[in-house]
Formats: sequence, C-alpha cells, structure tokens
Amino acid sequence: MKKKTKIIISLILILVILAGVLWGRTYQPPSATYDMTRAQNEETADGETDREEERKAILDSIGSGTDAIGIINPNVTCFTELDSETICDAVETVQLMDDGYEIVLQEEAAPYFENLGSGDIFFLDGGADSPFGEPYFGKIVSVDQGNEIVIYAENPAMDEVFDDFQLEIEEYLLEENIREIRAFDGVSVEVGASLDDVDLNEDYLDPEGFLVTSETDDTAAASAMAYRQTAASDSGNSFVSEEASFLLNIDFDLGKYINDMEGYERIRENEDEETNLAIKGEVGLDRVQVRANADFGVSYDNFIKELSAGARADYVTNVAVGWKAETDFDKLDAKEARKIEFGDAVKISGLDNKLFPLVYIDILTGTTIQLVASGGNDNSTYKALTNIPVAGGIMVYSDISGNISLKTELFFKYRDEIDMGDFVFVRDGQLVMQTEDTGKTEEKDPEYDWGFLAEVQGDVDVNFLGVSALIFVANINVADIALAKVGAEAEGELSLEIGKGGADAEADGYLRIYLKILDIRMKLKASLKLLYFTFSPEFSLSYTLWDGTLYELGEKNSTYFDVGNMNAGQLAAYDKQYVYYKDQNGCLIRTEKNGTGKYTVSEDEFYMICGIDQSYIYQLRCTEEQGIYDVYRVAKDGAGSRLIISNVSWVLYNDSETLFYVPGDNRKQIRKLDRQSLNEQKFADFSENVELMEYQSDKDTYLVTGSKSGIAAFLGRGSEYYSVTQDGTVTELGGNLEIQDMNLRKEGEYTYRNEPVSSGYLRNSSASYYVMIEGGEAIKTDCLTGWMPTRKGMFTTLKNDQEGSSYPYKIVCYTNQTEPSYIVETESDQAFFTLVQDERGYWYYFDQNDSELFLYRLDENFSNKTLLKSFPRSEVNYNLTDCATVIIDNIIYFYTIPDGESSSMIYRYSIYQEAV
Amino acid sequence: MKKWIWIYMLAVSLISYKNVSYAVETEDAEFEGNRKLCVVISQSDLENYISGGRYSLEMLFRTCGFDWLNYRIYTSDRDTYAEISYEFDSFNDYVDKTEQLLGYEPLIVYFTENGIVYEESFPSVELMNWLFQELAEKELVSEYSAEDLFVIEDSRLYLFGEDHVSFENMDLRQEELPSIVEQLSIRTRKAADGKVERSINFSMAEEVWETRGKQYFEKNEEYAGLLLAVNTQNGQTDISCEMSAYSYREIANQTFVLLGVPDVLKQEQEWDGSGLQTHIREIIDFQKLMSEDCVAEIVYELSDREGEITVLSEAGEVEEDRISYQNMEPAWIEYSYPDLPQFQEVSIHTRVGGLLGRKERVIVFKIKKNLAENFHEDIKSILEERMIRGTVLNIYDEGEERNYEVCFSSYMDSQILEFTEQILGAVGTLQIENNGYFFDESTIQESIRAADFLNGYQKPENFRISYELPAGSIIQGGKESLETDLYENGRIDIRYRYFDWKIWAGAYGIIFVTFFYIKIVFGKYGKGNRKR
Repeated sequence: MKKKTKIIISLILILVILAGVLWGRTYQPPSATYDMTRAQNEETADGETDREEERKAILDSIGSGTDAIGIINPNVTCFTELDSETICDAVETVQLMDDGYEIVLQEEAAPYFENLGSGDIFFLDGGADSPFGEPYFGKIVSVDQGNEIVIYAENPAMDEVFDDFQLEIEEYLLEENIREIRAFDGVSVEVGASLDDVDLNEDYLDPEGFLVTSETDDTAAASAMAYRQTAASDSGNSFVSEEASFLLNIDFDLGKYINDMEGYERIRENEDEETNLAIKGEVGLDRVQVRANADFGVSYDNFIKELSAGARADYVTNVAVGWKAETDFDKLDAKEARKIEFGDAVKISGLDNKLFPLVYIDILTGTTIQLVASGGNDNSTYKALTNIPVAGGIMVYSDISGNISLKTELFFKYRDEIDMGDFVFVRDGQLVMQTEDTGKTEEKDPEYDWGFLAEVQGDVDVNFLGVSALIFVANINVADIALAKVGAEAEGELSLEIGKGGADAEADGYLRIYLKILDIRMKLKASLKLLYFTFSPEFSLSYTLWDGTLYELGEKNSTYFDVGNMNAGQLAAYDKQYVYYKDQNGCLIRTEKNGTGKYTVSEDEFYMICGIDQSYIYQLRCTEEQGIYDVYRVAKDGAGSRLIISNVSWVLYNDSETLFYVPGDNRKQIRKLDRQSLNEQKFADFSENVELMEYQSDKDTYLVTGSKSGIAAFLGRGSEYYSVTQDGTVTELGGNLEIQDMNLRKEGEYTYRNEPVSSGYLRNSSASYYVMIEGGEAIKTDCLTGWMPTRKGMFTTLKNDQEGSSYPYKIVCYTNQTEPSYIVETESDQAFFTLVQDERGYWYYFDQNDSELFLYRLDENFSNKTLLKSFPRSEVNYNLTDCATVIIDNIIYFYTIPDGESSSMIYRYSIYQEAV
Repeated sequence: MKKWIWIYMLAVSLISYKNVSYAVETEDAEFEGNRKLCVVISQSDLENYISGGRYSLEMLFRTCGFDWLNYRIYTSDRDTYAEISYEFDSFNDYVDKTEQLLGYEPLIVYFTENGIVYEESFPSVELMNWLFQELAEKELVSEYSAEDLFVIEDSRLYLFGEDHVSFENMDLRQEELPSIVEQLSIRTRKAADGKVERSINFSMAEEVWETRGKQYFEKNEEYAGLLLAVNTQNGQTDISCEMSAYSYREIANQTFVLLGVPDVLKQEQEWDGSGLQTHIREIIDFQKLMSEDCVAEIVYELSDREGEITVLSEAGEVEEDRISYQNMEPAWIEYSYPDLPQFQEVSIHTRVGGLLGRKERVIVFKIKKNLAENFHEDIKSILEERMIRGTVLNIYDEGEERNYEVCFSSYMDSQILEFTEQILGAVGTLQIENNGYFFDESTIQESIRAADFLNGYQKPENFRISYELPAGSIIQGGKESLETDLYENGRIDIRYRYFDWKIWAGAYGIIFVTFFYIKIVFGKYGKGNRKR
C-alpha cells in the first residue's frame, strides 16, 4: 500500500477517533424517569394477581363453585372415599384426652398408619355418621401398633394443614342450622326465646345466705338431654330460617361434678368440706354473627394477606355465682370434668383453654369451604376432596386458674349489643393489630349492675362467666372470640362487699373485678411474612378489645427481683427480711433471719426453689412425667400459690423481671415469662438441647450451652456454645470455648473464668476453671471432682500427698496465685462442696467416712480444725455427692438432692446455738 | 530512553498512591460515658395507636440495625416500657450515634474552659425518634408524634464520671441560669420568601447586665454566631438580636444557644383530607432566665398568605395578623394554617471526576412521604418538564421521606450549570478549574442565586450543596469545606490539589499505541522486509 494511502487512512482513523471522542463527550441520552414507589406497588399487585389467578384456575379445574378454599399441604396424608370408609369402620373408640384424642382402631386399619409417626398430620374424610361426625384433621402425637392401633392425635393449626387458605365469612347463626347442643345438666337452652324475658330486676343472689341451687331433678336433666338429642337429630322440628336466639337457664352446682371427679380428693384442701360452685341465672343471646377473614399462602413464602375476626350479639345476662372452695384448680384435670358431660366433643376447648364449658352450641353457617388436595410429582395437580360448611359455635363457660380459698358471691347483670368491630391482625399484608369498626352498631351505653361479696385468700384468676363465639373448619379452630367475660383476679387476703355504687372492704392484697369484651384469638404456627417484616406467631395472635376494670383494690404484687437483697438457692432462699426454706416435712417455711418467727408459707410438696422476687417464691414441682416440672409461684405471705408455667424442663435464669426456662416439649428452645403480666414468649431457638444459661456481665450477653448427642458427643464434643444477646439473637460459638469467651467472674479479690457444661440437679458442671493471676495470665486449675468458687477463693480437692496422713484428700484454694493454697485434709473428695463461712469468718464443712458424718469448723485462716458434731451414718445416711450446704445469716442448711424427683433438707443448724 | 520512561512511570505511580489516604481527626478522650432513656407507653396507647402493639416494638428494635444500641422491652402494671442505652467514647461518637436516633444533627453546647458547660437542644424523648420513624415508615402508627406516645420514665447521661438525670433536654451546667431578665419579647414572622425571622428583645437593670448578664449572654452570642445590640439608657439595658433561617429548627437552635434555655420549635405539614395544613408548635422554657416579676411576650406575626388560622394551644390571643402569648411558663404555642407544601431539603451533590472525567450532579428533593402521596404526580410532572436531555429522574422512598432524585452528568461545566438552573429555576455560575496534572491547585467556584425551586411549593427548609472530589485529593480547608448551606452562604469555594494519574496513564497509552501503530504501518515490517 502506498504511503500516501496509509497517511490518508491514518488521518481518517484519527478523525473518526476524535469525532467519536467528541460525540462521546457531548452525547446525552434521552431523559428517563424511574418511579420506584409505583413499581413496588405494581410488583406487589402483580404477585397478588398471580396468586389469585392460580387459585381461580384451581377452583375452575376442580369445578368448585365457592371462593373459600383450603389447599391441603401435600405432606398431609388424606384418607378419602374407600380408604376413609375402611378407617371409619375400623374405629373402635374415640376418647377425649389432654388436648387431643385417643383413637383406637382395629387391626385392618394398620396399613394406613404404617408410615405415619409423631408430628404427621392426616385428614379423615367423613360425614355425620363418621366417628367425628364430620371430616377430621389429626396431628399425630403417638402411634402404637399392636393388635389394635392406638393413635393419640391433637388438633393442628390452620397453617399446618393448609398450604393456601382463603376464607371470608360474615354470617348470622341461624336456627335451622343448629347441629348440636351440649350442656351440663342443670343448664337448659331455649331456642327462639325473646331476650326481653330476662328480667334484670330479679335477684338470684340470696342476700341472707350463700347461693343455693335447686337440686337438679331428673326431669330437668332429662329435658336438657332430650333437647340435646332433638337438636342433633330430629329434623321434624319447625325451625325457621332466622337468626338464632338462645336463652340459657342455668341452675346447677358445678361443685358436685368436681367433688365426684376422679382424683379430686388429692387436691381438696379440706377432706370434709365439699367444693360448692353454684351458678344461677339466665344468659340470653340473639342475632349472633361471626366474622372472620383469613387469607394466607404457606406455599407463597408464608405470605399472609389477611387475618381478622369479630363477632356481634345482643347479649343479656343476669347471673349469680356462689363459690365456696379451697381448691388448687391448677391441679384439676379439667378434661375429666369435660368428659362427664361433653363426651367426645371435638370443639369444647377452642383456642383459649376453658376449664368448665357449660354449654356448647354447634351451628353450621351458610359458608362452605372447598378442601383441595394437591399431588403429582411437583404437587401441581389438584383434586377436590370435599366441600364442607364452616361451623360457628357458641360456648358459655366458667374458668379458673390458681389456688383459691374463698367464700364469695357475685351477681352480674348486663344488657348490651356487643359489637365493637373486627379485630384485624393483618390487612393487605401489613400487621395492623387494630380494631376496625364495622359501622353497623349504634353506640349506646350498656345497662349493667354488679355486686361482689367475698372473703378470699389466694392467688387466682376466676372467670366467672364467659361467652365465646367460635369458628371451625372441620375440627380446626379458625377463631375464638370471647364476646364477654366477667371475672376477678385476686392476690392476698381480702374480705369485702362491693358493688357498682361503693365498697366496704378490708384487704391485704389486690383485687380486680373485670369485664372483658371481645377477647379474640387466632392461631398460626409458622412465621408469617408480611410486607415489611416477618411476624412470629410465637407472640400469639390474641387481643382483648376492652379489658375494663369494674373495681380495683390495692396494688398488684411487685415481681421485681432485687439481686442485691435476694437470692434463691435450691432449697433455701432469702430476701431482705426473711429466709425461706424447705423443711424436713417438705413444706415451705418462712422465718426471720435470726431463725425466729417460723411460719408455714405452703404445705404443698415441691422439688426445688427456682426463683424469688418481692412477693413470691417460685417452685419447681414434679409432674407425672420424669424430668418435667410445673412452675408455681407461692405468695410469700402464705396467701396462696398458682401454677404459672406447666410442662417445664428446667428453669435457667431469673433477671429482675423475667424468668427464662426450657419448655418440656422443646428442649432446643428458651422461653421467657414476664413475671408481672405472666405473658410468656419465645426467647431463642438452638440447634441442640439447652443445658445451661449464664449471664455474662462483661459482655451483657448470655452464654448458653447445648448438649451434643450421638457421634459428636462420643468424639468428645459434648457441648455446643452459644452467645445470646438480650434481644434473643443467637451466635454460635462452636464446640470449643476460647478462654476469652468463657464466663468472667470477679469474686472478692480474684477473678476466674469457667467453661460451663450443663445444669445439674445439685450443681452445675464445668469442663474447666481458670483463675486470673497477676499480669492477666489464666491458670487452669486442677481438680478431682469439681470446683466451688466462693468470695474467698475457688475451692477444689486434690489427692493428699502428705506422707503418713490417714486422709486421702485435701482441700485447696485457688485465688490469684499460680499455686493453690492448702486448706485442710478430708476423708471425702466431696467435702469442699460444703464449705461455708459465717459472718464472723469461721468456716464450716461436712466430711464423712463409712461410718460417720462430721461437721467441722475452721478459723478464718483455715487453722484450728474443730469437730462440732458427728452423726452416725446409720441415722444420716446420705452421700456427700448428693449434698450441698448453704449458710444464711449464720444458719447452715444442709440438704440433699439425689435425683430429678426428690430433695430434702437434712439438717438446719444454728451455729450460734451449737457451735460457739 | 526506555529505562527513563519506566522509572518515571514508577515514580508517578508511587506518588499518586501515597496521596490516597486522609488524615484521621484527633478525638476528645475525656468525653466518654453512657446515655440511657426509658419510656413508658400506656397500654391503651399501645393497643390503640401502634399496630401490632408490643410485638411491633420488639420487631423494630430487633431489626433497627444499630448494633451499638442496647435495648430492653418489658411490661409492668400493664404498661410497656422501652429502654435504650448506648455508650460513647468521644464527643463525635456521641453526636454520631445521637444523630442516628434523632434523625437530625443535634445541637449540643459543650465547652470546658470555664468549668463544664454541656447542654443539649433536643428533648430526651426524641432519642426515640428513630423508633417512631420506623413505626411511621411501616405504617404502624398514625396521628401521634413520638412525644405524644412515649412518656419518659427515666433519662440519664453518664458523663464526666457522674450520672445526670433530666427528663427534658440534658443540661449539665454547674451554675444556675441567671434569673435576671425583666422583660422578654420574642417575635417571629415568616417573610414572603419563606424565610423565618425572629427578633428577641430583653432588658434588665444596667447593673445586673454589667455584673452578670454581659458575661453570660456575650459568651452565648459568640457561640451562636449572632450579634447582640445592647443599648443602655437610664440605668436600664435593652438587648436585642435578630435571626433568620428557612427552617424553624434552625431558629430554635439559635434561640437555644443565645438564651441558653431549651426551645423546641417544629413545623410539620399534614394533609387533612382536603388541603395541606402547616402545623407550628413551639415550647420554650425560659423560666430560669427570668426574674420574678418578668413580663414575657411571644408573638407570631402572620402573613396574608397564611389564611385561616387554627390555634391549638390555650391562652393565646388571636388578632388579625398575629397570635400573642403572655407570661406563660413554659410557653406553648401551637397553631396551624393552610399552606403550600414544603420540601424538607433540596440538596445538590456533584461528583467531580478526573481531568477527563465526567461531572455527575444529583439534585435531590426530599419531602415527607405522607405529603408526597398527595402531590406525587404534580412534583413528578414539574420535574419532567424541566428535565433536559440526558437527565434521569429516580423516585424512591427512604425512611419516611420520598426522594425525587434528578441526575445528570456531563463533561462540560456549562451543561451542568444549565441542568441546575433548569431544575431549580435558578441563576448561577459554575467554574471548575481542574489542574490535576501535577499537584497544581484546582478550584471549584459555584454560586446559586434566586432559586425558585418548584412552582406552587415553598422554598425548602434546607438547601445544601456538596462536592465529592477525585480520590487522593488534598483539600484546603478540610473535608468540611466540601459542603455548605446555600441559604447561608449562597456559594461554595473549594480549593484542592491532586494528581490525576489516569490522565498520565491515558497519555502514555496513546503514545504507546501511536508508536506501535506508526511502527506497524510505517515501520520496517510495513515495508515487507520481514526476516525469513
């Protein structure tokens, strides 16, 4: 190519490059607008549209004519058609148990349950003639396969069963749709009565004496039973299609059922005295409407769009309640009471446990829901199962929790149209938790009057009368709406006569008479994804629209734990003024700190003290299941005790307001209970069973240990460590704890760290202890059987290398030096666990050999060993391995906790009296 | 020759690398402690005004993202308590953390020359602003403000080795405020251009002024950067001061610093369903400043534009063109009137590239999200009309604010200026002299005058400009000089030095490419004498 050509090409190239650069530097693209605020909305709307279209397609594909749909999770085993018929035929008995049913089936049903185990859910289709009277969902707790199959199943929650669920209901309950009425004898139900018949001027309460009910005669009982059968099966009744009104005539003594109950003698305070729980009066309900809107998609990333519920009713009541009881109702097996009259009724509890359901009226609504099963390889094929009517129930009940010793009479008269709107938990994907007025109710003041005459001693919450509306899809409770509840919560000793107009009261305690309107509960198991954040139903979807106080007296007991002035050991605790301990008889005793003024706080058997605060001692009490406890709070003044948490594996920790514990049914979780409000909620989940929880003050976090099992434990990784912040955020620390991650504690003049392993009945165990010597170095301490940190130093025991000594062991003390200091020779390698120091500086410890148990005293500098007392092992035959000592204000408490079920105080020893 | 090139390039690279880092400011080591606030939310408020109740609170605390913030929520006597606490190890650390909680930069008077003087301008309850904003953003609360919803249970500041408790604004002054003012008059008006003007007049006996007042107020005057006019006649000293700002908050801050008493002055705008209402609320507690028989008067002069005034606080007298309050302690003024919407802030941010780089400018109009919903399409269409070719409008929500972010980039200053003038309806000048060849001084000078902003909208509360320089720039005057308040200063001048290694790398690249091009096209290989 010629040079000239090259030059020309080069120039053109340069010009093109320059033009390109110039164009690049001056070019501006067309303007554009990106409106993300609208895009977000459109995106959400698109997602919703897809979901709705998919639902519509499913409904079209199965030819359903209803909008309400429940697509059953593919993991739910569905028994339909011939399968369900075979199973229903094989059912021998269905029996109500605690929170569920025991279903006994003949052997031919075995193949259906071969592959089902604990936690699995099954659906059993069936009509009115089936064992459950309708389709049934069961979540298996246990299956026992033998000659006959015994299944224990509980009711699952909505989102455990349904992948996609949409139900919108707003229905008046109609007379013609009444399916069944169940009632205690002595409670009769009149359908179609006028509420004007209830006369609020009539007084059922006998001012001269305790409320006495009429003897329930056979006629009345027969009438109630007859009505029950009529409503359930007689289609010849001329019900009309209008809103149902009910008039309940109540005149019965619930006490007689309790007195006759199996095992009641166990809980009755006074064997000669029978519990009297009489209710007399009328309750009227008219134009009962139930409303609910639930719309969620588990398969749509757990997205929940709507969740709301409400109810209305014209409500009138004029009842008098008389109670004369000394009963620990927390011990009462309520299911027993229910079984007396309610037999195998599926729906008697609802979401909110009700101790004594007096009446349950089961009414079908006009709304039906299409149950759909999904299947195929990718669960994309759908099959219509059954189209069932949604049921709305009405329940009238009475409820008590706590230990009560009272004589009380209450009358309560109330007439109102109850409808303050729907309570919306979630609306359009956003957490709302607010009431929405339906705008259909004219506001008017309720007509009411009440009076209360009582002598109370206890710690109790008595819901005298509650009226609830329930919504069910099969046996799954969608919503539980208490229209009204009247009751009282009381703590301490009260003697009072009060009414709307005034009060004459003597009280050393707290009393609140309350009226709650629209107490709504809905329940979902999974975490719900809302538009903005995930909502954990661990918080419980419950709401009380109006918690009105009719009367309040005194102040609620403080539950503040003052760490500076209080301490709770295992069998002894103290506060600023008193010492509390378990005596040799197992009672909880209170004394002044000098040991005088002995007072029995509670005679109830307990296993261990697990907390103390300003007003209460907290106790672990054994249950029938080994290793599972109930937590009771016992008023320090002896006013009563109350069950506050049941089914607890272990109580881990108490801070100023909260009690942390491991639930018995999920040991990989820590839950916390607000001791004041008694609200409990999840604190944190872990991958291993929780063993121990300790507060790390230097980090303001909790150190939690979990126990490994199986191969990991075999290989030496017995513990897994977690750091948990105050808000429950868990950080895994792994199986080996670095020294800097261990608990740092300062005691007296030395500092130590330890590597905790687990809580024990008697002592917590640790893998190692380090003392920090001058210069900051951590020295690992030697030991034979464990460590016991005290303010003076950390005691442990070593082999005694002193030649010629008959004592095989010696106690040593680590402080801030490299080497431990020698304390004393002992015969037992457990003696150091019992070392305690009195206010004057003397040390005390127990030692033992094969024949005797010794109590020794040492000077402040561990010299001058003095034998104070010896006990023949034939009299006090406890192994020091199972024993511990605590000293409170110069009184030594020596006790034993040999296992997870028993504990006892061996010796209570005043050192002023005996030792000096 | 080749060796020289490589050594030169290596040296240039090393020099440019060295100048990338910034110096670290020295912090005050003595200023360390702990701040704690506990508020109580009544059960009825929790249930009625916070969707989700306690659950929502716990969720928001858990997801707040302040890993330095300790919190606790607990219930007692049916009320819910929310407690927060955080530690700080320097003044800057405290201000940074506090600012995150408040949502705005706190004004804190702090000097130790004549004993400890420490006072915060914000009421302690506003440390829960972040929570309230989160609640509002997630639409979990309506109608109420943080102050209405949260009642302080405990508020303390552990500083200088002592625990200080105050439920209002934290004031650690060791000496009592001088109760010396005999007459006090505070007059506030909003000028036609939207500027808030305040004049404060007070008087005292000449002797009192000379012995106590002069020292106190002149120190405050200096700190506030205001000018006090002092006039003494017949044994009486009259002191007056004028201040102005486009934001009520700024006026409150100046009042706070000058008088040394807490002043909470807020403007909030709300859509009442039919129109926009501006809501003014001021609580000023000047009790400690005044003598026993002091006469105090607070006057709000109203402009014609303000329309029908609704007075919400008690004890105010409404005349035709003013609201006046007399002798209230503390003074609480609250009124509302129909108004034009106001942006909270208009900010101009410019990223200056290297010698050959583009200049990217972003103008952000910030407005409350709840207001924006009513004016969204209007604001959007006005901005779209004003956009020149190459402009991008991004609209997005951030917290409880909606941002209208207008972006433009160009190599030419003239286009950047045209874009700015077009969007803001302003007149301005922009001159960027970029001399990054070898650490010569570069300058940026920009002024923006007479900005109209958007038609039908008030001037924004804040109007700021900021620049971002190429990495490795050495700024004369420190990083603070990169940002300024345009209301206050009207212009920004930045001087800096940097070395643009990219231009050198580019130049060398071109030389190499050219060299090889010539070698290939015109060199010996091009002649066909390739060796075989």
